[in-house]
This record gives sequence, C-alpha cells and structure tokens, in this order.
Amino acid sequence: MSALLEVEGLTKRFAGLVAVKEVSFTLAAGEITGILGPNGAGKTTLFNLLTGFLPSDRGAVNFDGRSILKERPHQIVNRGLARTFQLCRPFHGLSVRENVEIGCLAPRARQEGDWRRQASVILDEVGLAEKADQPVEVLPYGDLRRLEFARALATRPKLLLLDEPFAGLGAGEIGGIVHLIRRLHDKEGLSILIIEHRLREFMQLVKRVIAMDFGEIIAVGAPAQIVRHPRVIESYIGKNEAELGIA
Amino acid sequence: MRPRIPFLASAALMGALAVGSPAHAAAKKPILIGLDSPIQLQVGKDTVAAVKMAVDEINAKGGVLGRKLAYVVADEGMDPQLGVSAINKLTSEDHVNVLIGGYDSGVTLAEEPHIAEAKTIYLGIGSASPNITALVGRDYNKYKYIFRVNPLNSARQAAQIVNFADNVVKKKLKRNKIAILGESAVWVRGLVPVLVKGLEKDGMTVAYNQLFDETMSDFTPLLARVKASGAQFLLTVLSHANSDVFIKQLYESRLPMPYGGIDVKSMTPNFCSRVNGDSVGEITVNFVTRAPITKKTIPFWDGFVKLYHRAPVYTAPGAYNAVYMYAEAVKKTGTTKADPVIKALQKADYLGVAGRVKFDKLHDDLAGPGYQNVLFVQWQKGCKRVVVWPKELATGKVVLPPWLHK
Amino acid sequence: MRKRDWLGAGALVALLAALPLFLENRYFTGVFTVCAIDGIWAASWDFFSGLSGRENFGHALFIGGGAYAAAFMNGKFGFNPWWSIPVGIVVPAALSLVIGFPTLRLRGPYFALAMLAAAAIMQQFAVIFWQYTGGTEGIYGMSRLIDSSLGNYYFVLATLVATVAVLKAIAASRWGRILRAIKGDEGACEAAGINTTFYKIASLALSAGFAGLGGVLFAHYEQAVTPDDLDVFLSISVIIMVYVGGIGSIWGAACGGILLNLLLELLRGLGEYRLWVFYIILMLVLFFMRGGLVAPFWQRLQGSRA
Repeated sequence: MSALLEVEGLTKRFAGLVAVKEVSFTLAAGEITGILGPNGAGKTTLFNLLTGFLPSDRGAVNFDGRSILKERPHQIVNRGLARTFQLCRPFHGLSVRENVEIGCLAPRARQEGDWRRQASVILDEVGLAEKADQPVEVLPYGDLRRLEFARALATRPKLLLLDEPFAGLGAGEIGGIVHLIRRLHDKEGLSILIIEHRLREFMQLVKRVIAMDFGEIIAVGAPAQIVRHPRVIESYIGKNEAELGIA
Repeated sequence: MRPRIPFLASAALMGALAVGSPAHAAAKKPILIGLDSPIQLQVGKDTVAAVKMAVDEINAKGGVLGRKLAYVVADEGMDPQLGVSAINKLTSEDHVNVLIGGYDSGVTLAEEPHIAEAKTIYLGIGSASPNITALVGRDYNKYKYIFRVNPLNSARQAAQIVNFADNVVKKKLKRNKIAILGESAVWVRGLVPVLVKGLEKDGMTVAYNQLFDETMSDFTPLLARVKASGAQFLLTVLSHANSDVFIKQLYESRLPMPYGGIDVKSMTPNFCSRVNGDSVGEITVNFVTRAPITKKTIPFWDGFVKLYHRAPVYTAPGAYNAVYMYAEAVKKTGTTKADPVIKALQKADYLGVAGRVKFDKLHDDLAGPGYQNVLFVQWQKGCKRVVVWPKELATGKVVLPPWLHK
Repeated sequence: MRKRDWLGAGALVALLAALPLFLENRYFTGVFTVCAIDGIWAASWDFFSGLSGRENFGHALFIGGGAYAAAFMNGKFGFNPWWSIPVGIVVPAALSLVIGFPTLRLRGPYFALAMLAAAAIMQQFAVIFWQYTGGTEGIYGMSRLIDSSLGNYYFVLATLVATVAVLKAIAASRWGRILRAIKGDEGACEAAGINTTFYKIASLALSAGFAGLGGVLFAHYEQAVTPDDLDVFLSISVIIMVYVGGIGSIWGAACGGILLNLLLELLRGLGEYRLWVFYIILMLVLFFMRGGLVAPFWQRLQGSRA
C-alpha cells in the first residue's frame, strides 16, 4: 500500500540561505508523526512548502498518490491535506460558528452535504458549541486554538498538519488539546503531523519522530531513541557543549 | 437689482423640501435672466458684472414693459454635469425667461439638449464651437432657442485669421510659411481645417500643424519642431492651455519668428505683466478694446472700468449686448413668450459694443464689414496693447518680437 | 433581514419615489436622479471593497467604462439607447477581469494602485485619442432612455433598489461570508480550502458591472460623456460616499451616495465656496463618525427601541 504522504528531496532557498535541504520522508496513513527541531530548523518552512504557501525550488511531494507540488493552497486542502497555523489566525468580524462554516464551504466539505449541520457537529467535537455565536474577538487563546482545529477539520482532511499546537497555552489548556488530538486520531482515524517544541506532550502523542536541524533531517525514529540521539541533543544544546563532552 | 439668493432647502434631508420663490411684487413679476457661467473664472465674473451693468441701466430707465429686469446666477464651472444641473435649476426652479452665458464648448454642448427641453432662449456669449449653432440647422424645432451673440464661431474666426495672415503676415511681414499649434479642444478641431484651407488658398504654405492636449506643460519639443520645419510665423490656437507657460518657454527658446493667433488667456488685461513682459510681440485675437469701434464702445468700456476697476474681457461686451438685445426683442413683441421673441431676434439688427449684431440662419452672429469682427491686438513695449488689424481700427503698427529686431 | 429593516427600506424608497411628485420640477427630479445613480456607484463599490477589505481606488474606470460604452453605442453608432445597458455592463466587467487577474492574486497594495493607474490611463486615452472619443469635450447629444424626466427618475430609482437588493442578497449569502473571511485573513481562508482568487475576481466583476450600469444611466441622463467620468475625483467621491454611509452595509453606502450629492447641490448657493464647505463638512463627518452616518444611525435607533 502506498504511503499517504511521500516527500522526496524537497529544497527551498531564500537568497543564499538554504531553509530546507533535500528533505525526504514518508507518512503512512493513520499515524501521528512528530517533527522536532530548534528554532530556525526549517519546520514551519517545510509546512509552508507542503501546503502550497511557498513554492519549492526542487523536489517532489506526493499526497495520496498524486503530486501536489505545483498546486495552490486551496487545491491542496481540497485533496485532504489541511493545516493549522502557529499563531492562531481566526477571521475577525465573524462569529465562532461563521469561522468554522467557512471551512465547511470548501468544495471537499460541500460534498458531504448540509454545511451548517456539519459545522455544528464539529463545534461540538472541539468543545466550542456553547461559544458558537460569540464573536471571535472575545475568545481566550485556548479557545482560539480549538477554533483553528475546528476550521481545519471542517475541510474533512485525511492528513492534518499542526504547527506548534501548544504554543501560547497555559498548563490547564494543554491537557485539553492533547486530549482533543488523541480523540481526533483515535475516533476519526485522522493522520497527524505535528511540529512541536515541548518534549513531554510530544512524547505522549507521537509514534515516530523526524528530527530536523538547519533545514535537514538529522534523525528519524521512535521518540525515546530520538531524545537520546547525539545529533539531536547537539542541535538543541549547541556545539560548544557538545565539544565539552556533554553527551 | 440684487441677485436672488437661491434656496438652501435643508428640509430636503427630512424629505420635505421647502419650495417657493421669495414673494414677488404683487403686480408685476420681474423679467428674470439666468446666467450660467463659470463664476470662478474671469470670463464668468465679467459676464455677471456686465449683465448687472446692463440690467441696472435698463431698470433706471423704467425697465421693460413696465417690469424690472432681474438676474440669477448658477455656476456651470468647466464641468458638464455642473452645467446641466445649472441649466435645470435656472429653468425648472428659478423659471428664468432667458439664459445668457457659456464659456467651455464641451459644457455648452452638453447643456444644449437640456436647454432645448426647457424651451428657454439661450444667448451664448462665451463658447466657440461651430457645432453649437449647427444644431439649430440640424433640428430647428428642437434647438431654435440657441443663439450666439459674440463673434466666437471658431470657423468664422478662422476666416478672419486667414484674412489677417494674408494682409499682415504675408503682405506686411513678408512671411508665407506658417506653423500651427493648437489645443485639441473640439472648437479648435473645427477651426484648424478651415484655417489650413484658407491659408493655402491664399498662397501660403502650412509647414507644420500639431494639436496637443490642453494639460501639456512642456512645449519645448513642440517649439523645436516648429523651428525645424522652417516656418516663418507661428499661429496659435489656445484657450484652456497653459498660455503663461507657453509664452515663457517660447520667449526662452527665442523662437525665430513672429507669432500670434487665438490665445484666450492673453486677452486678460494683466496677462503681459503676469508673464513679466515675455509676451511682448504676441498678436492675439480680441473682440473689444478701448477704441471707438462703434459709438457705444467707449461709453461701455469706461462705464465698466468705473464700476469694477478693471478692464473687461470678451464675455462682458457680449453679455451686455445680449441683455439689451433681449430687452429690445421683448419690447417689440410685447411678451416674454419664447416663440415670438425668437422671431424678433431673428429679425434684429442691433448696434452693439463691438459692431452690429445680426443673426444668420443658424442663429449665429454675422461677420463682415460693420458687423462684429475680430480684432488683432499686439502686446508691445511696456505691456501696451495696440490694435494692428483691421486697418480701420488700428492704433499702431505691428512690430517683431524683441529678440528678432532686424 | 428583520421586519424592521424591511419597513425602514420600504419607507425610504417610498419617500424617494414621492418627493419629485411634490416638487414637480425638472431640477429636483434631475438632482434626485443623480443621487440615485451615485447610490448605485457607492453600493457597487461597497460590495467588493467594503466586504473584502481590498480597496479599489479606481472605481471610475468601471463607471467611465460604462458611460463611454453608452456614448459609443448611442452617441457615435446611433444604436437605440437601451442597447447601452448590456454593453455598459459587460465592458467594465471585462476590464475588471483584465486588471483583476494579474493583481488580485498578489498581496499588498498592487491591486489598489493598479486600479488607480488603470483609471488614469483610460482617462488619458480618452483625451489623447480625441479623434475617436471627442477629447476633453467628449461625446454629446446622446438620447435619453425615457423622455419624461420623472419617468427616467423612476427607472433609475428602480435600478438602485434592484442593485441594492441583489448585492445585499449576495452579501448575505455564502459568497458574502467568504468575502468577509477574505477580509479577516486571506491566507487562513485559503487554508480553509477556499479559492480566494476566484471569489475576489468574480466579486470585482460584479462590482464593475453594476458600476457600469450606473455609468450608462448617468450618460443617458446627462446626454453627454466626458473624461471627467474617468477622473480620480470621481473614484474618491465614491469612496467617501461609502464611508459616510457606512462601509460594508451596501444599503448604507447607497444612502451615502444619495446624501452626498444632495449636500453638494444644496451648497450650490455658496457659489465659489461650494467645494470648500463640502470638503469641510466631509472631514467633520469622517472624523467624528468613524463608522459612517447612515448604517450606524439606523442600528442605534434599533438598539434604543430594543
């Protein structure tokens, strides 16, 4: 069976700086995979390349057997590959419900029928049903995060890319989001690719980790292994310490 | 007579516009003249000033048919939309008996269908396009209300310019290669072909002929091409164009030939001093100057200067004549109804400030000996204005521009 | 729309229809005709720019495009003036596609500036190619659509009502929602699977078509078309009308158009100071009533009753 997502030699340069260098990996359906790496490792750039928000210089990206390399963001979403943003980006001037309904208006979601009903179901799932008719401007950040999820889910994705879903959340809210991610995976069978910093939550959720540094993949494996991987440690702590012999 | 102040119908916003003219004198309503003119420009201000002068004079002598004359002003600007709404206001709200005014041909042309629909006589004193009166011939019943009182028809002006070119440029100054520069306005486009044909018929050659759009502000390339064409005299046709800049650039380039023609801005009395004397040598078409063209010219001129402390521009004598002609026509027919007054005007032969005013079949004023003719006036040393043609009215000899003194 | 809104709209339309009957005067009928046309222009601008947040600084391109289409069809080629209407809608819509395709897919001020430049270029063409377009004096002597000025006014008023109704209906639908989402965050909208470029281009074409329709009605009322109908002053006036009326409400924008032209006419008595006073009043309104005059006023009225 072919993989859900196949990435081959993906490369992106910004005027002399190589942000993503020859990245290759595959994702099988039904997995939760994580991407780990320090700031500037190229993780968000990778997401932007995969989802069409940035054009790539070289490489191949196949989703569900089809090349999506040259497609525009909305076309990629309608193939079943959705994403959230690191910084929540709600539609100001619309209510919570209206925000989600936009996702339900994507052609892919429209195929499933009554978009208004779908929105209600999704709002329920992410736990925003009670706040549905409030304007997004009054929502606390944790709920905005849920809204990000809801809107992406509305497009009926097969693979969901989450860019630092725990960023900006307090301890209490994080637990809820972990729960939500688990439930989406377990119940809906959603494949998930998460970029994260926070190792603890990360370790609980993901089955496989892809570690990046300076735009390249430096290691791939189970969470427990990756965390002890010397290159990974080096990328997080810095060369000096490594030379000092701290392993 | 004080101008009637138009209403500010503030109730309009509440949906109940208060309408109603100020209470008329119980017995006889004044005869109302509507002025649609660009009141922010000199031509507009002088139109109003001249009408006021005429109205006051006539009222002092008892008015017309026992009724006083009054006038109301509406700004037409240089904007057809403003002009159309001015016409509508004057005819439908103020119910004027006659319209006097005009300046920009485009505005007048846009206004004409609306004037025709309002069935109100219009005495044009400012716009030059032949198309304005051509409509009278094309659809008499609709456009019979349109008259032109000033000798502005640009095709006619062309004929008179050819006459000047023949007599002064060719015979006196001994030059017969002509260059023509004009702005691309509709009245110019009607004039230039007539000009070219007439010049060539009189044995002159047109070495260069170019129209430019009226917003142009750098004439040096055009002036260079005029020079390169080998022309010996430059004919200009300017109205809205930047005459001040044009003259300055011509002066600076020391164009090696005498020049002149139509330059409306140069008609204003202070033009020469405005350009610091750069226009000395320019010959421009004008319609009135302080010279005894008729017995009424100098009394009009002096009267205007006394009242307003400035010399009048060409719309003033036209407007003055228009008021008197209308008053006479109304007196003759005993009514202000349009059709009889139109017939009276068609038969009129009025001695005006710049000549006899008589209309042709197209309700355009006639040109020729005794009628209103174009004067050719030259700016000379000290910013003095000297009439150089026609011979009968000349007050001096034509000179070459200062840098050409041979 | 709630019942109160229907009643309010009905009352306003009835008022606009009844006024000329009381005044019985070609001048006032003419003023209201132009007011209604301004309303069409403002509503059409608001539909695209008010909803999507992408400001169009060259709306005169569409207005003048429709007007010149009418001028050529009727003034030059002598067609029956009613033919101007379909042509005057299609030509601006086509122009909007030409400008919209390259510029609407870009972020940043490209669209706004491109529209501004396009209108200015068209205006220059009208002047430069004076042999065909009549230059600065334009094309005149066009026919009226309806001879009676009252009849013409009612036709224009009906067109205004239809324009606002159609645009409002679209704005309230899924389409309008998507435009508002584009205004909120276009990137996020794409990430939600929406083809934002398509909606922007389609909305601009609709906005252009209605603006051109207004241009046709204006041309056949004035019976003349000049390069002033492509002028940046017109583009800016339309934007001001929308802001005064209440941006994003469409009907508020239309009211802004009506009010502003009314104000301009009322100030006619001030002669030379007319424009001066007009702009001062505008500045005061824009300073002190940020959301506009009409739409917020209506909402406040409702609020106090509730």
